[in-house]
Amino acid sequence: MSHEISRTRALLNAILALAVIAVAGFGATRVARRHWQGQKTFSARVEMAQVGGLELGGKVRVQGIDAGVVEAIIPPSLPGKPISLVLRIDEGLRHLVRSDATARITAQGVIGAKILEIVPGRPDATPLADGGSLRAEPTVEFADLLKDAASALKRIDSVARSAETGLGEITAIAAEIRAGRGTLGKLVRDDEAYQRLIAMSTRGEKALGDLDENLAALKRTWPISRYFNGRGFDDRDRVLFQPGSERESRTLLVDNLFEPGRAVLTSGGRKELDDVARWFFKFHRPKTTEVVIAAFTDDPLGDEDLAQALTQEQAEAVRRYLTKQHALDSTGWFSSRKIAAVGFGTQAPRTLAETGAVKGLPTRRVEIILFTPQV
Amino acid sequence: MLDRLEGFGRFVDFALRAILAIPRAAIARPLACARQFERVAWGSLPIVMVAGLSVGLVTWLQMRRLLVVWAAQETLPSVLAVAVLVETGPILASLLVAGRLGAGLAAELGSMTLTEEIDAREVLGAPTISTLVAPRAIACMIAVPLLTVLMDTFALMGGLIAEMTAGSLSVRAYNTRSLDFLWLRDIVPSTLKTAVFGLLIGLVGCWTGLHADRSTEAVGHAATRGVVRSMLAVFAANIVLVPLIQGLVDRIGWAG
Repeated sequence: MSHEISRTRALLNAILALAVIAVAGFGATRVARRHWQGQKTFSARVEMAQVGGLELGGKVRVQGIDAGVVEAIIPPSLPGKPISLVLRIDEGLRHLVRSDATARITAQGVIGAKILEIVPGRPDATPLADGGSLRAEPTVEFADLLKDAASALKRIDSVARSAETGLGEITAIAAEIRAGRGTLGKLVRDDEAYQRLIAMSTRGEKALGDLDENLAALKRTWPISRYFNGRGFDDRDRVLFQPGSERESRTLLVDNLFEPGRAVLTSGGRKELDDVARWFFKFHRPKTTEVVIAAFTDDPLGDEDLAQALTQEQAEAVRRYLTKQHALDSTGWFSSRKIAAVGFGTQAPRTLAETGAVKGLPTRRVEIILFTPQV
Repeated sequence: MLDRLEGFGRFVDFALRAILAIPRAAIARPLACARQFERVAWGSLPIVMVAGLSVGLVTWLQMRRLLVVWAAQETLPSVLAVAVLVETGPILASLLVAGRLGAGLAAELGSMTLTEEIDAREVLGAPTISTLVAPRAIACMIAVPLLTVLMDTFALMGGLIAEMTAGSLSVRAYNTRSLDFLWLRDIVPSTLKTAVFGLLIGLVGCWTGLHADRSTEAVGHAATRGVVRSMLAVFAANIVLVPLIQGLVDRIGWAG
């Protein structure tokens, strides 16, 4: 009984085995090259006070391009000394990494792994030598950001207190006037009271100016900035004026959307908004596209404030419908699209009139405008 | 209990003698080994390919559903490649071979025992271990890692097919992204460890067949037991090997 096989079959077996080994070798090479083990590389060193969770084999990027790996993390011999990182970087990007390049650690998304980002130096500096050292930039941690926000809040607090003092002085003056110790004419003649009023108003003006500035800073500070992003705008005059963006818009008639004088969508209005959503989703919109919903009217309702409140509520009703029903604001995981809803009452902002965008449009309208920043 | 322990002791003795006989058998009987290899590799080829494709497709479908919720579907190839190459591929390929070969070897050697062929061979001067067991063990040892590579390849292709039909990534993006979390230090040991699984499958299958009772019914019984035992052997060996490999990789500081 023979357990042996012919030559051809043996050869066929060998070919199968070699083919599979070739596939395995190909795969292994690709994996190795992905981590810069096959290509020509050069090494660089960075010394950092702390590495913020960067791991062995972590990615190194040059101007955002995947360029290498962290080859070694050498802990210091004494406490207080910096940690030494050895990097392996693609030789092809060497001309970008100059001797004055800096390295910093950033996170890849909110939950992503930490990566080392290299900012290339000035073009007139010499290229980094093999094994040369990069300058390290300190790592920004979330805790530091929170500390910044807290100190900004403290400053606002103190400004508000000084504004309060100013108001207290106004009350004091009002009390004096009421007490009959001085009429308005007397106030004008009474030099001391006059000087006090002047001092108070300058002080109040300054306090309000400070408050404004601090608020603007605060609006851009995480996590408070999230609130303003959620609201969609922080400056109503500027919301329609975005010269750096491409503008697309749809105009709807207020009378088709809402019951007269109310901010409740009619069923016909909902259908029109469904149409708008279809128009919006027909093309792929980048994440940066912002949506502005602007409502206008021509009926002052006897009071400009009322007209403004009505249009504001109408714009918000449209925004609510488009976000709740069609998720216009969803762009993915932790980000959302800016959707601003602004009611302008009877008065379109100056910026809009100047661009000539209002010509030929009905006055009682809701405009849905897309601003796509052009890069 | 004591009987079982004794049985296990006999198996260990048998295994050690077979392993010692392997190098000689590989040199002295290469064509016998090739024949066994042919049986294991070509025989398991279709099922491994189908299983690989199916694993790739199904993993893609299930994971995409989860990842779409977080709008993270573009990370799917990276996750899929790690899931398949590090553990699913090797263990599934080993189990498929264990299913086919555990039964096949036990039934073959069981019926050889039944027909007294084994005894005849011993008398004719062809020792069972070096002429029957060792070639089969070698064949399994070589074939299982190769089948694992094929399984991995087909699973990745299954994922790619699914991505092309229903996904949004390009072929190029899929290829690059699937390498994202892969490290040689993970996939090379986990592919090579299947050689140990193959060896165990061969030894356990042969052992079960050689120790079957001498009746037709017992041969069928041995086939069933061969499957169960070789699969258990694969699982048990995996539990031992995984921490061992991880410890070893850390010890030598393999950073690739």
